[in-house]
Amino acid sequence: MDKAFGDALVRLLPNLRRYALSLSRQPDVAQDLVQVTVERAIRNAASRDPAQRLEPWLFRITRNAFIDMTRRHRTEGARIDITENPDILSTDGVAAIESRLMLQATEAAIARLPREQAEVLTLVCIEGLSYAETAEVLDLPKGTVMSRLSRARLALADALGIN
Amino acid sequence: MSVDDITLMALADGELDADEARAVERAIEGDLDAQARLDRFRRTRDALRMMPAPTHDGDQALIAQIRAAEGAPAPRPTANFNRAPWAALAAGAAVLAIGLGWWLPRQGGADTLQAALSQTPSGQGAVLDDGTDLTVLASFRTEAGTLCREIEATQDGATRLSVMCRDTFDAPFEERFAMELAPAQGYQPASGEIEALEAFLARIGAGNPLTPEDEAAALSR
Repeated sequence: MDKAFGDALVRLLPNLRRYALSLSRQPDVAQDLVQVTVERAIRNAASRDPAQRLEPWLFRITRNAFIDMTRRHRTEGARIDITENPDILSTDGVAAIESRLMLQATEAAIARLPREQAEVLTLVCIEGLSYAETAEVLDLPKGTVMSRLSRARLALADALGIN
Repeated sequence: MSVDDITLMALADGELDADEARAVERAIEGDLDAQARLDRFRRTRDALRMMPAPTHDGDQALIAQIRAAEGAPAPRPTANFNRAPWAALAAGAAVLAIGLGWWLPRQGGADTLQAALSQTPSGQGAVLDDGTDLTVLASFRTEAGTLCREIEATQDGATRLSVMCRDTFDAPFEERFAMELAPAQGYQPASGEIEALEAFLARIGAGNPLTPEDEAAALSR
């Protein structure tokens, strides 16, 4: 594994954790998923197609790890509101109280979305994946990604009072 | 005619090409309802873009793990997330010996071995004429296109893991790798004990396990 790959992996750890949280909704499970993702990424670094962006490749590993985990444990896990766990929310760069409140409201609104909507929302709008990349990560037709995303955005707009 | 939400969202997200984007923008000129809906998609995107990524105390350990792997050689040249059946099997048994050689079933076993190898789907088993209990674990192709099957064979209480390959459709399967296993008795094998197998698979450029469809096709021609 080369240094550039390692640097990129370190840089993307918070992104992997955010995606893992959107999947598991439990901080401890998300941490396990990030751990498994890092191990599998290191092991398979050489086999990655360098033409493909790293983010979708990593998110797919995270998603497969989550599927493996839920298959193994056959547990859904209790859904938690991540705003009640402020330790998993970073305060970096958030100065104004107003924007802090907006962020909390957004976090809370995402946590209330169905898991499959929260997942596409995270990948497209927060992580910046294209619709096509998201479809690839989720193994879904692009049309399904778009309809889920549109429902998620409208629900979020309602929750945040964006009319 | 009104533009639908999905199209407006694709415009807000920059997913339309330049011509499509211009056409949609023209179509919603003067359509206040469509412009309001477009604005909702833009503003939800903006709200989400500001979300900070969560950090965690465990990051330092992960970063150390990543740094330690930098410069290390890749353990396997091929992508393989599905090698788990081997690992699970080997983890539950002590590796007694690693012997590379031809496995010759006893009288009457050889023909049924070839028949079983060319017909049994992965995950299923067969009993050979000499009483050997055979289970096919997976099939894969090597870099050179050779079809190989990973099997577990139990005979007189001894269990053998083998990789049997045939270079052409007409050729018989030959044993290219073998490892003998016995049930673990209060002894856990070191994690490195399937390294020989991993090294062998790497050397022949073993690909991912074939899907049931691909395997059926490979066995029939």
